Amino acid sequence: MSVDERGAAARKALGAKTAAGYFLDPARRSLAAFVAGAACLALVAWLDGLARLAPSYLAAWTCLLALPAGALPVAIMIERADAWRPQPETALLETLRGLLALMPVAALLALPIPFLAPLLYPWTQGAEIGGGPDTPFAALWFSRAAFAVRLAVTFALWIGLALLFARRGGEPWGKAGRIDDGRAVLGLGLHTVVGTLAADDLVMAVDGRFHAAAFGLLAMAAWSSLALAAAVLIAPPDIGPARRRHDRMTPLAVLLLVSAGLHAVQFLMLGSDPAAAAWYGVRGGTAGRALMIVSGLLVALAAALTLRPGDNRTRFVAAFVVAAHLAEMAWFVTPSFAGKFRIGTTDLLALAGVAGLAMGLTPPLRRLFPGLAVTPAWPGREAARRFTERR
Amino acid sequence: MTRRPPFPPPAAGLGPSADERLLGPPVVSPTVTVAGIGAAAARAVLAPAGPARRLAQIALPVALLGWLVLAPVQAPFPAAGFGWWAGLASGCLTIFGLLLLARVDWRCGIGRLAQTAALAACLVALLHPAPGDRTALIALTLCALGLWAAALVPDLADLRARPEMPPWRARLYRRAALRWHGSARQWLAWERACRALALAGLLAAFALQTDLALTLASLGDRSDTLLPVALVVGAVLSGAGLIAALAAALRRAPGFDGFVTGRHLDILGRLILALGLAGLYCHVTEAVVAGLYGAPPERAALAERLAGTGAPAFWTLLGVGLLPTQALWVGAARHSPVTLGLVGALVALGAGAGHVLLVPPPATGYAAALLAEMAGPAALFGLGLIAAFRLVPAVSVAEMRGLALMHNRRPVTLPAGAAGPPPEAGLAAAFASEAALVEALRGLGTLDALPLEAHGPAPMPEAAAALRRDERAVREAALVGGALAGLAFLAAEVLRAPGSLSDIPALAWARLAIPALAAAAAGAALGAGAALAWHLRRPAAAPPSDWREVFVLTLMPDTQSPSAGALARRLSALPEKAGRPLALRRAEPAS
Repeated sequence: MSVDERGAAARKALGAKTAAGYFLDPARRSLAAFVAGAACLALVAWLDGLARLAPSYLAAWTCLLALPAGALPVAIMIERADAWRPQPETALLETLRGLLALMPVAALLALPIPFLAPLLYPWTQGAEIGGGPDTPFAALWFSRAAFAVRLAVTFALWIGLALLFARRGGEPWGKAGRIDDGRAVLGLGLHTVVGTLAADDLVMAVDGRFHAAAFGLLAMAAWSSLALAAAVLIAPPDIGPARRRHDRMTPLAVLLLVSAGLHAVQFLMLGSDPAAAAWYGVRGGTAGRALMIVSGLLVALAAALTLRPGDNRTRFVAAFVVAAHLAEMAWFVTPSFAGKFRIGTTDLLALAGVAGLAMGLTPPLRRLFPGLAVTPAWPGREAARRFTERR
Repeated sequence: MTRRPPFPPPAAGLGPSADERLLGPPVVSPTVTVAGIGAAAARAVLAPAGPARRLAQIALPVALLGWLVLAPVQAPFPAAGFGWWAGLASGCLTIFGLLLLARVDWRCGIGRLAQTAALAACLVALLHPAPGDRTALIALTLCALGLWAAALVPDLADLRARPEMPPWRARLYRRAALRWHGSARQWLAWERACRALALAGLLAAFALQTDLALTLASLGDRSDTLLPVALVVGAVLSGAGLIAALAAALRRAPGFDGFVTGRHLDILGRLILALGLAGLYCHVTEAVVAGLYGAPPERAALAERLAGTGAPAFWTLLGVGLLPTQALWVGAARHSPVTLGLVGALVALGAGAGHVLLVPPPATGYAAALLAEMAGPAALFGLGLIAAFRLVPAVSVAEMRGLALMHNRRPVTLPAGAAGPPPEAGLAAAFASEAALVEALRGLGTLDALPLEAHGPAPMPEAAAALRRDERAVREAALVGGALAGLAFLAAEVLRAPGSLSDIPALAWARLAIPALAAAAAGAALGAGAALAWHLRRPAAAPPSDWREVFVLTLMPDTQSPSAGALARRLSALPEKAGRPLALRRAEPAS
């Protein structure tokens, strides 16, 4: 009996006789989550209409995409760093590999985006890009067919990379072969290109006039910071007789600093560019400034706590980092449509809807991509294993 | 001609170990020992010049003189040269700083090269007129100088005690090493000071490149947000190339091929390859975004760069600075010192073309200006490196010893107990390793009543913890120094600004953050350096001079104190494998 099956049996034995146990049974949980998620999205569409749902859905979907797409480079970097360290950082790495399993889910949930494109991207309405006449290349690039092809290629490459780097989960080092076999450089390089393409195509393009060459890097840094913070929150500590606790605050602080540095550099470089001023203008209201101040304080707190790291402190900071980055994903998208930054009921319902759909789709897609189902260190599984062993 | 033996030496009949299969060749040759490292470093600084160095010692001053006589007084590449040398300095310091902060052990072989190259490049950059503010470059120079000097202290202390040193050198090293005796507290302070200086150097390098990008953007009316990233990537790439070229050259020096191994070449090659890809990414992304989303002036600027007046510099950057890095996909190219050194040198040279793209072309033409730059500032840089490595070892003796202790454990033999000089005071006990010394401390039990100190040839974190030594002065001094310098800079800028505070636009406030960060880095470097100097001026007991390559436990009071005899008996009574010292020495009774 596998760990999954034993866990399912344990949970079933615990909760079969209660209503909560009935709905939380692993056999029904994913279906229930899917139905709840679809209901949330249907409710938003019914109440506010598709035009209002589209940006909220895009922002919520970006939050989902950030988990696997952000986890990918961090997993590669930790894998490489482990080659130089006496003790590998197992639990965090396995958790990040677990997040990679969401890549096919994000790909499947991206399917509505080409259909919603007329509601999201000004170029579909024939708007001028960059304030100048289109070149033949730009005319070809900004067509719906090319957009759909780019999206398909992007996710094909990302799923391939996720499969490549999740496959090493649970392998003993001796079997994994040479660590520096070139996969890290290739993987990081490909991810950077694909991530830039996706960030520019899907997020930056919601504003017809604003463009920044560093936007791809900025979005990828935010995704990675979000994914690492989420992994820090859910990964169990590395335990064992001779194991030293790894400091997880420093990588989180470094990613936060990179993300904040790119934001600052973009703001300083664009200076008084009118399109950039307009872009920042709609994002700079009370809520936008509050988000900026809170994020700045978080970066300072994380940097200061690297002097005194600890598990609880790291998780405390990581929880706020996750919240701030989720808000940032909405900050990138929704102000271009609403004219100001605020997170309303529609955005929260869309987030709940996408989360529900993702929870519902994850189990069947994991069966479809068995190479991604390598997560031996999830806390729930460990608890289930201990429970069945006690019985 | 003598054929050099291959490295690593082929193991007779043995396949590669599990570690070697996973990670590649070792970071230090198996033949390197703690005693051998100091001797090799002393031989290197005293060695007579070989043919290559003699040629360089003649050719470089001739080139420099020729440039001074024939060329105009001003720098050949006023702004581009500044950016190029500042980039080389930032790159070298960034690479070393990141490796040090991440505690990557293979840095030991290339650390001194990176620090010295960073310092020399900073000094050459200072000769060029800056396109904007010089605060960040001064901060970087302070950090590079501080890190170089701090990292040198244990090595100079080792050199000062070597009998083969001429008196003037011994005097120089004695003064520079202050009161370094390798005590656990001194090692703690040294490690923390080096880490603080490395972090300050990283911040200063980031501030310098960002400030340069903002200045060039305002001069050239550019708003390309990837420019700061491209400058940082280009700087680190050129630094990696320079380090690779120097490492390949250092490997030819007798006795140093065990310190700079095939593993170093392989990793440097991978680093250059990855950074080359990152550089290509920056240029391609910039071109694609400008082509797709850019306004007509941006597209025109792109066309000008690809096919107009900027084309020679752009294609030189691509052909010399970026494309050769792709040869390093091939393992044989990475493992060949000649190929790697050549690619590294090309990359370091090609970075100059990237800076030429950002400023108006020189009046004398690109080729003439480049030749003048090679004859003048580059010759000065080369002479600086040669002079530095005549005075100090080209590898860090202290860090290499730590690496050798970790990877190449050997049985330690000591001269007979009475043969060597006695300790200055109290009692001295020698141990083969830090672990044995810590075992002895555990065996002794209560330590509070005994004024003990541990000494060693490499950092001793476990011994410091066992002795309950802690060090906070360096970190606190760096933080206070950084905060004070940053605030002082902001206050000075506010006082200089015309009108009231509310007249300063928000963007100007934000823009001030970059030089303020540089000032804070300079303050932190000064604070950390001052705290280390304070530590090294405190009186400390010295271990016997012939025991500098083993771990030594010393007792501070004089031998008349009853505790010295009692401690000697307790140490001798410890089990052989649980802390009994290899040898014990007591100070001679005071007359």
